[in-house]
Amino acid sequence: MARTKSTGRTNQVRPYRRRAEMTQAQLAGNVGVSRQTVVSIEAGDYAPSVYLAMRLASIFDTTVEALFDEEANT
Amino acid sequence: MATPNSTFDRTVRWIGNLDHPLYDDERQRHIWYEASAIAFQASLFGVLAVAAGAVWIGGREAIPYTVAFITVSYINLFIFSAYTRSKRTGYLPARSDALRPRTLISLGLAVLYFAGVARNLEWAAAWIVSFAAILGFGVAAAVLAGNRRGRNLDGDEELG
Repeated sequence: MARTKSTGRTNQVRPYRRRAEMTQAQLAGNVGVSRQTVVSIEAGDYAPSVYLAMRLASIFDTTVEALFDEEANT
Repeated sequence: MATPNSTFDRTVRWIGNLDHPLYDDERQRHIWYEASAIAFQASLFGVLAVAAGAVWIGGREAIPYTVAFITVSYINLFIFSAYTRSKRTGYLPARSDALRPRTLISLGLAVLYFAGVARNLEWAAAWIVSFAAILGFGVAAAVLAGNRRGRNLDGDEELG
């Protein structure tokens, strides 16, 4: 079975956020979660739901794969 | 399977306070679910440990209270099982995990408890308690087995 734990995973949320010149609080407000959730996602401590992942991708005008696919980002 | 708006579903959502704004943020919800699971497991160990200690320290007078504690634990286990089954989700690990340390610790505490009960009762009463214990374990095993069957329902779903 594929690994579904969030801990230790990497993603591209922080680079995309910085490129969009957004603070974590602004991003959190835009996607409807707490800033702590954004912090945890960026740190790879929390894997967002598919709906939150899609909202994040939409905010950055990219795809979920571009943000969260580890193989595509290596 | 309970529908999302069944009486059972509404009741357990009310008991669990699952519509509280606390659960709006998905990560916060996730953490609270984990915390609830930890507290639930701790309470199962705690009740057994306290009951085992009480019958050895408090003697015969403690037995009715320990029976009450353990009964509440059984009710909680039943609610847990009923809810997971209503969502078509089993909660048991594979059979090969049955003798994990946590299971052995629980069994050890249970044996300690029943030894303490037997020590403090007359033979006739000890037999009654032993019978009740076997009955209780049987009910628990039936609930757990039912849950295992509930988990297997996922594989029986028809396509289309």
